[in-house]
Amino acid sequence: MIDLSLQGRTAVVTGGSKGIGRAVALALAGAGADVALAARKPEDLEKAVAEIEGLGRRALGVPTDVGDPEQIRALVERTAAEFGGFDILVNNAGAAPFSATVDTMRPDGFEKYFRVNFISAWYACHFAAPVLLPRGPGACVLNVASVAALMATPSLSYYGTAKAAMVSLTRTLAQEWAADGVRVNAVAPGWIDTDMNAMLRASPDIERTIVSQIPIGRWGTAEDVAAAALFLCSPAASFITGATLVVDGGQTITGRLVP
Amino acid sequence: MELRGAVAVVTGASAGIGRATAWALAGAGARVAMAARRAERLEELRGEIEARGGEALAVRCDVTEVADLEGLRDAVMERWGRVDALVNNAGVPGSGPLADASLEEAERVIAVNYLGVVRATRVFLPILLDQGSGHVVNVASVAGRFGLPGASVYSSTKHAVVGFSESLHFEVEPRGVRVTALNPGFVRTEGFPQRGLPGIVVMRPERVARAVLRVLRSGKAPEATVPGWYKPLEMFRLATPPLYRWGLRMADRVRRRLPDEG
Repeated sequence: MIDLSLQGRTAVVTGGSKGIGRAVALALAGAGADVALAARKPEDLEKAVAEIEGLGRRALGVPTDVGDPEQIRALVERTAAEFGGFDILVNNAGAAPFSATVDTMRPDGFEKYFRVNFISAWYACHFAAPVLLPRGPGACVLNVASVAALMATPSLSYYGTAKAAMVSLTRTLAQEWAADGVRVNAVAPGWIDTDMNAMLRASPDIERTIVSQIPIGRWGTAEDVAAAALFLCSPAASFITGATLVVDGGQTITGRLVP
Repeated sequence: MELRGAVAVVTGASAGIGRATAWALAGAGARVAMAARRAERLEELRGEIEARGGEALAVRCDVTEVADLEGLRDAVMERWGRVDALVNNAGVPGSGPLADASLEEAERVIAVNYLGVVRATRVFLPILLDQGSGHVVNVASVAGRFGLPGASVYSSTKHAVVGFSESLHFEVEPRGVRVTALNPGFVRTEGFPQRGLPGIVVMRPERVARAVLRVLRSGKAPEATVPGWYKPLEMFRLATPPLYRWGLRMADRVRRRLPDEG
């Protein structure tokens, strides 16, 4: 029997109030897990918390700016205290709010968003280690990377480098934690229809080019990613660690990322 | 063994490896009895574990006093009625070069590091044998495998614990009980500050706590080493004895340059 149940488990999802993070949180809750959500805006968190509670699971909203390591530490401590530890850490928070080439990008912009997209995940793993490692088999980390980790990302150097680092962290941590039974995997979504990409979709030209480059011929949904995430966090994936599962409708095999 | 719901006893739980191990066991869902001389520290840790929904018991206990160990056993049995794991972790640093230490100091090290393990194991063993299950993990040291110049008494107590563990393991294994000597390398704790050692060889106590959990989960016995790279060094002793002796002489020269030893 293939076991996708997370009954009795608890999870933390960063960037959990919207988009992929919200869909992952709902998928985990749907499989039986209680979920703590971290995001910056309390009003978005409240909505997502209510949705999870609607599935009959416990939910906890923790307003968090992942750019600040101290807030990540507080998120881990608060969740561990409220839930009596946790089993699953989903590093999903990320942003790609601007584009500029390396020569024209402001260094502080690069540093800020490299921090949000990658360093935040390193800190979350670092602070969550004393909670996850004792849990042993059953505990896991899921990093939400991107196909940007696997391809060139002109004008998005902060995003592509951070996501590539995320894939590397996934492999390294998988090896460091394997002996304790804690698995570490990543998903690499391609073009997914979320608020983060709404601007691109608003332009019919870009919209058309993007879809033309996806062999499956449509945008991905947050639920497409959440399904992969749920599998990787479930007992069904207990022999999978250090893997990056690409969820992109076949786009990376075409070798093109940017319209 | 499955750690969720298991009952574990940890000696020397007020600081260092013992504290990290108690915390990790609680994190794994085990019920943890913590023993140490400094009861107020244990109470603090018990509060933290319970605040996270864990179950813990704090018992003042000097492992050199059999009456204290019996009190610890009775408290655990009264509260939970069983013992699945006994982690004999209480230990003190060596008394230094033999010629510089009083015999009294040396005998104190033997009483805590070696006799403490024998006494605690003897007090708890009948329970494990009656259950037909259980695991005793003795926190020894790589100094239980190699001579450590400048720490002859400390090193001999740890050699004794390794021998005790191996002998006892094969004595009780047919009755369902396992015994493991876990040999950590250099670990920086309150009792063992490890000043002057290169950072790369010094571990945090949490790393040893993880190893204790791995040993309990896997049932590995009668010996485990953390970090694993000390293991090949043992082969080196058998393969090239002159080189091994040269290594110990070098270790002594290094020690003389350090502010303290561990």
